[in-house]
Amino acid sequence: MRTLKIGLLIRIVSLSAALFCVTGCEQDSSTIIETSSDNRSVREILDLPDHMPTPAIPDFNPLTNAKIQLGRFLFYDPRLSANQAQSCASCHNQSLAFADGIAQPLGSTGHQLVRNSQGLANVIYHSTLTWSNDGFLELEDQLNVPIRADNPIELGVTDAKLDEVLLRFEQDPQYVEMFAMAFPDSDSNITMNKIIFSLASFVRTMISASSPYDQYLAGDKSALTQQQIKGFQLFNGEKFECFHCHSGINFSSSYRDANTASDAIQFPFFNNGLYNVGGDGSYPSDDQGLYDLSLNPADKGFFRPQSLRNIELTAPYMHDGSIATLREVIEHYARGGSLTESGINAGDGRLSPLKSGLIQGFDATDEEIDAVIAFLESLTDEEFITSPKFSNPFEE
Amino acid sequence: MKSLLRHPSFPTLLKNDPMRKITPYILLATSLLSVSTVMAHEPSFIDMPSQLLLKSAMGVQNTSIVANDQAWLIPGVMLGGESTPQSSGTAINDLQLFGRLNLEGDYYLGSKIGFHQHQGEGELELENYWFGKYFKFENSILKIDVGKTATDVTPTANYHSSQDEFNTKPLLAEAFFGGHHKDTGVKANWYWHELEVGLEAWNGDSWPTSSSKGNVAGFVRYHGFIYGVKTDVASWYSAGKAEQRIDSRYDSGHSHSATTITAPDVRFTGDVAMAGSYVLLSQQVNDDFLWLAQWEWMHSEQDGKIEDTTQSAGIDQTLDGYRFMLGVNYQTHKFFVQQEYLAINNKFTDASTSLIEQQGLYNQGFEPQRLMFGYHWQWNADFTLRIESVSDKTQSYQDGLDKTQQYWSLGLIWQHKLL
Repeated sequence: MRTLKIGLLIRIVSLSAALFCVTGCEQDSSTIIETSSDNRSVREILDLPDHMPTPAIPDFNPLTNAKIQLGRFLFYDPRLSANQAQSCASCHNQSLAFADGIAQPLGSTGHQLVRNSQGLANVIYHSTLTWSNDGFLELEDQLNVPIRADNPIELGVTDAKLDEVLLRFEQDPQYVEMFAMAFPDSDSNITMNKIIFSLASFVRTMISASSPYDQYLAGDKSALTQQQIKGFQLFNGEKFECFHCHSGINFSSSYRDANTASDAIQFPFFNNGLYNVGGDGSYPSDDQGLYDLSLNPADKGFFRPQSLRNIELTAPYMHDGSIATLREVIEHYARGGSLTESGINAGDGRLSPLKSGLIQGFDATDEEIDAVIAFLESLTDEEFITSPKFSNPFEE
Repeated sequence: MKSLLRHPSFPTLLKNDPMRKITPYILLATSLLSVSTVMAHEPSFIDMPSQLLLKSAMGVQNTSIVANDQAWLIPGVMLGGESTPQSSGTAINDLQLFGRLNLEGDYYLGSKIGFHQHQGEGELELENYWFGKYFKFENSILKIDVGKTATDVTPTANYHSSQDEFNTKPLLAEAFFGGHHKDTGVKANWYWHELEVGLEAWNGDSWPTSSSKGNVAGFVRYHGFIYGVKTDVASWYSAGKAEQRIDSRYDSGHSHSATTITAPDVRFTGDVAMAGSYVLLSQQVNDDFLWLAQWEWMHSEQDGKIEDTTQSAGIDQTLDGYRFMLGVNYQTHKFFVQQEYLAINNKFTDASTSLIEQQGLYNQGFEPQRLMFGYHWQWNADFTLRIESVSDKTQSYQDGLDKTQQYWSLGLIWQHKLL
């Protein structure tokens, strides 16, 4: 009887072990990423690395290599300004991640602009475009401003100058051929819409995804120094709170990609306490941010959180270029707002009633600030600022 | 996985316990009855008296498998609920005050107040409370429970340190049920001979479902004796939904320390289906010796969408888990060994690797495993000394190596019938 039971026990144990091994031991873990055909096409054109999400491309202006190539020529061509003095590249310099290093640049006619030129890296991932316009959802909308607006004048292609500018391109056989290739189904002449669609296509290709931080994401754990990793942790911690507004792969909560549902797109704008004119949260009267469009007093000083990609290269900072260095930017946030001691814009931004609740101020050591700056410098993408894909074609 | 050794059919076999002498005969008689009669197999709850019972488990563990400011992540698995490993040091791992009050007409009330300590913080809660009634028919019994309680699909879903062989939660409980199941709903259990059929409808608030989206479950179970071996075999299925489900194990998805985000902030929305089977065998060989063997398989499919603060992607995840345990009970000494194993297959649609990796969902060829050895010495009717050694291989590391972490714990289980 005992032998029978021991035999039974052995059989049961053997059966159980066999069940475990047959069903479990042979089963492996795996991760598969499938890409839909639409997204695959976009990724191929943009040559996107795996760690970058597929950007949203509007159906009305699908990406093609011909439009991208045409857009690249137009971007660098001063003939696109009415007086042929400036091109897009005048304020968007590749070596500076397509910023210009100037606090507030001049337009083609010498008109003083009130805002700092933004870098163009990864603008394709922003949910809105420009510093404080919640209506510019596509580059095709936004591009009208620098090209066609008369206040401020940037390229100055006003209605009065439009035909003259278009004629320059129609008289250039190379452009005629490029436009024909970019818009093969169109039998009309060169139009401003075609120019804008081509420029938008080119700017959408300006994707920065090869910085040391990207290499770190891609698995090279030596790509960041220990100081930069420490800075990354501080950036994502509850003390500095940077990540609340500068979140995700593009370091901005103003974000969308091809997967973002239309009802899930965020349109964040914040008052960061840079000014507090008159104590009511106002900013200098020549630029009050979103308020200038909405006329809602609660929107005074509301600007979009910028992407921090290549931020080392895009100084000076803030919408008006009023802060010169990254250290001063961090000190601004550590203080909980900036103090303007005198003048017509005097006021303490820390006390602004419109300031975002996320900006409470914090105590940071020099070592911590150094670490955060070191991390931000890891977002500098040497390949992006030297890539021939984005360089001036007239210099080739 | 309540211990079979503490199952009502297996009273504690203390050396001087008179039951020790007659238990084998009771078991044999029961076994024979189970295969030779057509009488209904009366489940244990029928005779359960009104009572107030205190159960507790406390212990000391020599090391933690994760640092205090880091989250425990199993590569590829969406964890949540109360899936947190025990920290090093001393802790009250489990404290339960269980009460049952029988009413007239086969009605009864039940409640359980529980205290659990995780990450150095304790939480006291009214964990379960339910109202029940059973209906006796000629050859069957129907039991209905309504309230906040736990599923009966598998004992693994109702893990408690004071009732289990091990102080460490089963890996399957962590990965499939967020530690343990508790939800508000209704359960109907129908007993016919050695068969039990259960149907359950839940609010859907227990991991991995969420947001009161509902969850239904059903199981078929055989529990009886086959050739003198107590046999418990069951298969089960459950289906529900989750909406914007987040890993809230560490509060809001990031720590409140100065430096580190500790847990994924991914939200899952979609369908959740689970199934499983288990075989629990045990046999009282003689007065001194009992053996047991358990095998369990669980499978889950989560099909939907994941989102973090900016990115999103489609996900189709299948998760398989296996548990295998052997044990022997010699007089007042009990020895256990348990191996668990997970296989994760994640298929993402239109996802970037940055989303997958930052949310801890990338797993290529890593099968998390946990091997545990346990020893119990029950020197008193109320007290049991418990020692266990654990080899945990559930995490991957930045250097690409899969490390096995070893730890041990020493603990005490105390249970006392107050009333």
